[in-house]
Amino acid sequence: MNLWNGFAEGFSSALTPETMIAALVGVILGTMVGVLPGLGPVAAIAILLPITSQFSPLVSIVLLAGVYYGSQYGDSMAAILVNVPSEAPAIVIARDGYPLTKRGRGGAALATAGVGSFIGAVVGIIGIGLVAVPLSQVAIYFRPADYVAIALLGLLLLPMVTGQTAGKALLGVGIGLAVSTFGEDPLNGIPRFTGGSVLLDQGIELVPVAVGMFGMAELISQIIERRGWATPARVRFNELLPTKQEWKRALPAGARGSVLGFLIGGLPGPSLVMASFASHALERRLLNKEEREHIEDGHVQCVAGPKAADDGAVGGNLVPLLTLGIPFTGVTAVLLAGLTMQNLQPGPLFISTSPDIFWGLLASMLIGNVMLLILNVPFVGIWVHLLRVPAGVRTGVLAAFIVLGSYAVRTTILDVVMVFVFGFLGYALRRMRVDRSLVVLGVVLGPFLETALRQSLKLSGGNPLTLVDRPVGIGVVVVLLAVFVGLPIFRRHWNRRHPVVTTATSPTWVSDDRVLTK
Amino acid sequence: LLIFLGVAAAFLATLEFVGFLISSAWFVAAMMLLAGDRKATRIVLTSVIVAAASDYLFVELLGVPLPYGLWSL
Repeated sequence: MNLWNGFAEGFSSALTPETMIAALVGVILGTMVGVLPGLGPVAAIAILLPITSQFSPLVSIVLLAGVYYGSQYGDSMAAILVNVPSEAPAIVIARDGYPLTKRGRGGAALATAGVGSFIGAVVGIIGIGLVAVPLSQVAIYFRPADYVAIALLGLLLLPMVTGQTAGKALLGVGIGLAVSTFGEDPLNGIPRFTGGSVLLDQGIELVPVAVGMFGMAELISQIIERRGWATPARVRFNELLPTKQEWKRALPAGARGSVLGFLIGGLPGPSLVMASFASHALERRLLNKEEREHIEDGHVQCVAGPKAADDGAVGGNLVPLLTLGIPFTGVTAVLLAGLTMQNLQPGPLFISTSPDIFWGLLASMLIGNVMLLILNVPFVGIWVHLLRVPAGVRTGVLAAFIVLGSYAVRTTILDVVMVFVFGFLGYALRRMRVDRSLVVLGVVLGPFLETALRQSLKLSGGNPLTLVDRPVGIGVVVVLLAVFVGLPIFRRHWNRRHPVVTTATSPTWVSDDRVLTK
Repeated sequence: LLIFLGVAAAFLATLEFVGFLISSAWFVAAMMLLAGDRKATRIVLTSVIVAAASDYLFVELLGVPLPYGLWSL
């Protein structure tokens, strides 16, 4: 099936009233999650899993995906209007968007961010359609050992792409992998680490882990740190129109950012953050001399580019999930849980066995992004009101939904206990600046990795070299050698010839919710 | 952090006893107080509305059986 036939079939599934409503509800909830710092898309999607499991598979995944890409639109509002990035990718948006607000161009910044998001999302969706089909046709020939090699490659590259030390990345993934071993053995069904508890036989659910790590941990930090922000600036409709000059600067930046974002989005780890930072760095390099002299005043292209990269990366993120069944980020790990709850198994056969779901999802994402453009640009004033909700009310509402959402998965108090346990753990990891999405990734990848590894070892009579005796395994070894041996050698030679100049604002490493500067 | 730990323990302890509706109402109120909100009317109204709305959403609309503790007798 080619791209156009695929989208034609997708629109026939997506243009039903229930799917359209699911997309609308998803993008509204997503925008709310994005606007309000605190919950984040991982926890929001995790809370919604028990609710969406009662819907049809397409409606369920359309709603969950809507929350994901909707949150990417919303996160720039708080960043631009009150200098509070609710998600890590919005940090660079605040860097240029807030100065624009201070000099009365906040409306133009919001409009270019919205249009940039739209361009990025459309490029990302078309990119999925173009890349996913051939990739899944190749992936049909993959064996368990190949999946182990790819998953291990993702895990080994995490310290490099997250910019964290190997120890911190290992700690995050290790906790996740350890949590995934609780409960019945995936191959022989023997209970492990249950302490005789029947409740633990089914293992620790992903929802309390994700909700605790992000939602509850954020609640704890809000209570302890009592973070507040300035009153958001008022934005009038007529202020939303960027000037002709601003459009001329923002649109090419959006196009550049979306392609860059889609490519980076396929990498493991916080690819959305990397995409927006890379695009921001690129746009700042492309500023002309006059703009560079007033770099601290903020520039629309440095808002539109990173926003497009952020949304383009969402598309890139979904490629390994839908074609290989391997999530490389925390959000896609939770989306995978949502798909498996619907008895859908993403992987090489997903597109051929469920074309209505795959193309329906892509078509609904296009529809959802049009909805978001309408919701976020002319109606931006409505969302700004959310930022005026008192901190206490936000905390109270969030607390109720966190505990109820986790209880609803299996209707057991154990899951509520787990939310608090992982909430405290998540808060500790946040303080230690360990990327918490690695824990979620470990929990989801754990059973998959264990099953594939044990199966491939069984098939090879216990020979570990089976992981590297096929083209995929050899490719993985080549990439690892290039990254861990070739790159440091190249860097040393490069640095010797070109001395490094560091600036005060250059990010040194990226956590899941903040960038630390030297 | 210790106060939050105490609130969490108390919430879990009372959950089965008084049910989700009442425990979530006082939990929301406690969270608002911990977040620095000191307006009594706002705290009472928010906690009652949030508890009732979430109970309605989960029990009536989604069919999730929430524990009612003593009130289920």
